[in-house]
Amino acid sequence: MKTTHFKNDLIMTAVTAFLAVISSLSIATTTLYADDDRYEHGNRIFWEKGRGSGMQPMNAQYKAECGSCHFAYQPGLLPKRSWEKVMTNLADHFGTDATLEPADAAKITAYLTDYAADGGKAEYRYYQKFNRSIPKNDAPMRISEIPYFVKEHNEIPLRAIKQDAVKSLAHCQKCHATAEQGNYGEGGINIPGFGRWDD
Amino acid sequence: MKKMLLTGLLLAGALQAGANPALQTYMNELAAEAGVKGFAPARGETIFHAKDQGGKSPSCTSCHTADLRNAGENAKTGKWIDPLAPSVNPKSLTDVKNVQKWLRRNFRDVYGREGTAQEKGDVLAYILSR
Repeated sequence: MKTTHFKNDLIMTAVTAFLAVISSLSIATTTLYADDDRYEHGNRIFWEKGRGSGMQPMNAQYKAECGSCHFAYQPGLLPKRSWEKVMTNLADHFGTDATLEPADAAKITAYLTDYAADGGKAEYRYYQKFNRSIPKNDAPMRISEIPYFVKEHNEIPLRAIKQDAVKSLAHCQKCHATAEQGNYGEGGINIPGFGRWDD
Repeated sequence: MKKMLLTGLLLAGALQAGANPALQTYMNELAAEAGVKGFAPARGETIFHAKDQGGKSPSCTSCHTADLRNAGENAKTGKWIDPLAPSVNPKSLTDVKNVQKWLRRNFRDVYGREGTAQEKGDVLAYILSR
C-alpha cells in the first residue's frame, strides 16, 4: 500500500513539473493573444485542439420534438439545472405550450442533462466558458441571457439582430453558418447584410 | 330541420373518410366522447379563424396562415410549418400521436385551455376538408 502511495507521489511530482513547464510556455501564448478569443484568433489547429469542438451527439427525438419549432440548441449550452427547469416548464415555454407526453419528456430530459455543460457524460470544454459565467445560484433558461453569451454579442448592432433575416439572438444558425455542427467560431459567422464579423 | 342537420353531420362524417384508419378511430372516439355522430368542417373553420380567444397566441392563423394550403411559419421563431391541408400535404394528420399533441398545445396557445372533444373533432374535420 505504502509503495503505491510513494509511486503516486512520484507521478504527481512529475505531473507538477510538467505542468510548470507548460504554464510557462502558455504565458507567451497569453501575451500574444491576450483577449478571450485568443484561440480563435490564433492558429486554427491549436484552437481546435485547445478548445475542442462543440459537436455533440444529436438525439433524434430531441431534434424532432424541439427542433420542429426552433434551432436545436446543443445541450452543452446550458447546465443541467437549466435544462431541468426548461423541461418542467413546457406548459409555458417562453409563452408557448410545448408540452410532451411524460414518457417523451423524460427521455429528452435525460439526453439534455447527460450532455449538459456539467452533465458528466462527456467533457465539452467548448461550452465551459458559458457554464463558468453563470452564477451558481442561477439557472437561466434563455441561452442569450448567459453572461458569456451577452459579452460575446454585445458589440453587434441591434439593427443587425432585429432585421427580418435574423429577428432575434435565439436563431443561432441565421448568423453562425456551422451552428448545427456546434461550431460557433468566428470563422463561421456571416450576419445577413453585414457579412463576416471579427471583434 | 332536424333531418337536414343530421344529413349535414353525416356528410361531414363521410368527408372524414379521407382520414387514415388510425385517425378515423381517434375521431370516432372524439365523437363518442362528445356524444355526436359526426363533425362539422364549418364549425372547425370558425374555431380555426377566431381571434383573441384568451390565449397567448392571437389565432391559429397566426402561424398556419388563413389558407390551410399554404405553408405556415412559427410566429415566434420563423420556423417553417408544412401546410395542414391534406390536399397539398398528404402527410398531414397521418400520425395520431402528433395530432393529439398539437391539438393540445395549440388550443392552449390560442384558447388558453384544451379543446373539447367536439371542438377538436370539428377542427380535424375542417382540416381534412381542405
